[in-house]
Amino acid sequence: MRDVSSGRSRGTGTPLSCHGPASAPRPRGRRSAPWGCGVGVPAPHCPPGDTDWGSHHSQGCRTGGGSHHPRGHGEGVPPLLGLQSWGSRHPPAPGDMEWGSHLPQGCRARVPPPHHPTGHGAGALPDRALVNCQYSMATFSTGERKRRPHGDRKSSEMTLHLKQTFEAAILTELYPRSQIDIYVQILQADGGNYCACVNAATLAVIDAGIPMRDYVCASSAGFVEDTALADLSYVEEASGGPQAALALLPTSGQIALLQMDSRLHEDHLEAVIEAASGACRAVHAVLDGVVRDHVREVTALLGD
Amino acid sequence: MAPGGCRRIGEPAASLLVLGPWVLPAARNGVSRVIGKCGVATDRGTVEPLEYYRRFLKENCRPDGRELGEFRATTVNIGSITTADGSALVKLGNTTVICGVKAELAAPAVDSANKGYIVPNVELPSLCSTRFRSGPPGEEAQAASQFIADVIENSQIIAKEDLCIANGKLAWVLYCDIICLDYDGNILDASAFALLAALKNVQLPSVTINEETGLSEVNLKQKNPLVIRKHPVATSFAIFDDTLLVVDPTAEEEDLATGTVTIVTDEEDRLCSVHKPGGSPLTGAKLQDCITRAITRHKEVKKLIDKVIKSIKPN
Repeated sequence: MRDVSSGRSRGTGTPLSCHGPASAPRPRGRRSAPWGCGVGVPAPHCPPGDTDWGSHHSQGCRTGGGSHHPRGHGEGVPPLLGLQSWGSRHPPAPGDMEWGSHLPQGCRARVPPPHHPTGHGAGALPDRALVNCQYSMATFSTGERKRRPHGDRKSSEMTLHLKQTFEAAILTELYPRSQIDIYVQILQADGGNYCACVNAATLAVIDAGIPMRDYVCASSAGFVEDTALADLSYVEEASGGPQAALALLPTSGQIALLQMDSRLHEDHLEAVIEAASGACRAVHAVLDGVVRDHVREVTALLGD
Repeated sequence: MAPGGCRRIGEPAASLLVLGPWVLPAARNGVSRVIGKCGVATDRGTVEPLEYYRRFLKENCRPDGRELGEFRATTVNIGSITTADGSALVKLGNTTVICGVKAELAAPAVDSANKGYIVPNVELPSLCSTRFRSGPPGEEAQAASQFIADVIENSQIIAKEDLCIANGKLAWVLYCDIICLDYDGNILDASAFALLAALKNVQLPSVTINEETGLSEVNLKQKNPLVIRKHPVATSFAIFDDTLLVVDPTAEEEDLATGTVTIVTDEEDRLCSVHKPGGSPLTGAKLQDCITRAITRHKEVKKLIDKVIKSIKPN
C-alpha cells in the first residue's frame, strides 16, 4: 500500500496526526507518492463538518497475493499507513489547518446535512433517502490539463459508482423523503481516483453523523508477472495490465463494489481480490483509528 | 516535476506559515463585556442576527473576538500539487482556496504577436458551501473570475511579453484555476493571494524552436521561474449601517453587511484596483482609511509570501 498519513485537526486548531509504523528503508529511486484526499461532511444535526483528508502514500512494497513483490528493488517493505484527515468545524476558531504539502493523490469530499430533495425531477423517495453524488476533477489535477472537469463520461460513471457504493452502505431508511449529497473533488490524481474518493467520502459521511452499516474502504489492485499488486499508481494503471477496483465493508467482509475491465484469467482473480481486500482492511484500520481519536478529542473538549 | 515546498507530514512545515491573529486584550474584553451585558448571550445570532452583531460592533469587536481592523489567521502552502506547474493553498480563517497553474503552448493572437495569455478562472463548487448549487458557474463565481482577470491586467503582475517564446509563433498560456474548497467569506482576498503565491511558484520548462523542423522542443530538465513584476494584494471590507467598516468579513458578516469594498495595492503603495460594487455610500475619508489599511495589509502579506518562498528547498 502506498503510505497513507493521517492527521485530523478541528477548528480548535489542534492538528491530530497519526502515523502508522515506520517503514523499512524504501527502495532507492522510488519517489514517495503522497496521496491526499480531503473529505468534508457536514453533519445533519451538528454544524457542518468538513474533513480534509490527505493521505500520504509512498510506494513501498505492494502486498501481493502470496509473495511480497517490492516494486523495482529487491527489498521487502512492509506497508506504511497513515491517513491524513483534517477536520474543520464551525463555529471556527482561528486555528491553522495543516495540509499535506506533498500530495500525489488528493481529493476532497463534502457531505451537507440530509435535506429536502432539490429539483432535478428526481423527487423524494417515500421510504428512504436519495443519495446524490457529484464527482469532479480539478483542471490541474492531471498531467495534461483537464478540459472538462465534470460532465464527461468518465466523471458520470464515477459519480454513478460512488452513488451505488454509498447506497449500499448508508442506512437510507432512516431518512425518508430526503436527499444526502456527497460532493467529491480531486485535486491531484495519481491513480486510484475512485478508491481515494470512496475513502474520503466514508470519513465525510461519518463526520456528518449519517449512520452507515460499516466503513467503506476501497483499493485498487492489479496483476503483473504472476503477482497481485495492491493500490496502483497512475503509472501502473497506465501500463495496461489487468486492474480491479474493490470497495469493501471490512467488518463483514462484504463487497460493495468490484469492477474489473480487463482480461484476467479466472485463476488469478482470487489473488487480485485478496490483495485488494488486504489493502482495504489496512485502510480500515487507519480510518478507524482516526475516527476514534477524533471522537476522543471531541468528547474531551465537550466534557470540559 | 520539482515538488517545491514539500514537507513530510510530521516534519515541521516551514512552507506552511501562519500570520496568527493578535487579539488585543481590548477585543477580548469587548466580547466578554457584550456577553456580560446580556447575561449569557441569549440570542446567539439566530433570531436577530443583525441586532446581535450590532451589540458587538458597539464594543468595537466582532463575535469571533477580532477587532474591526483585524484579519483572520492566514496560512499559505506553496507547491503542494505536483501535477500543476505552480500551486498554492491559502486559508484565511476557514476560507480555503487552492490555485493551480498549468502552462500550455499556443500560438499568440494575431494582433499581439509578442504576448502570451493568462487565463484565470474562479470556481465556487457546491463542495465549498451549501449556498452554491451544482451546475454552470453562478454569478458570484463569474464576478470573482472577472475581478481576478482585472487584477492581473491592471497590476501587470506578469508582463505578457515574458510569456512569448517566438514572436508570432509560440507563446505560453497560463491557465490559473482557483478553486474554493471552503467558503467563509472574503473570497476575493483569498483568491488574489492564492494566485500570487501560485504564480511565484510556477516553473516553466525552457522551450526552443528547432530551426530545421520548425517544431518546438521542450526541455523539462531546465526550468525557469516566472518573472513576477508586481505583487498585488487585495483587502476587502464590509460596510455596516453605512458607517462602520470591518476588514476581512466572514460569510455571516458579508450576509449582514450593507456593502463591500475591495482595494488592491501593489508594493509601491500604488492602487491597482478599487472595487466597490454598489452597496451603501461611503465618504472619501472612510475610503482613505480603507486604502491605508490595505497598504498595511500588503506589507504583512508580502512578508509572509517571501518567508514561504524562501523556505522551499530547491529540489
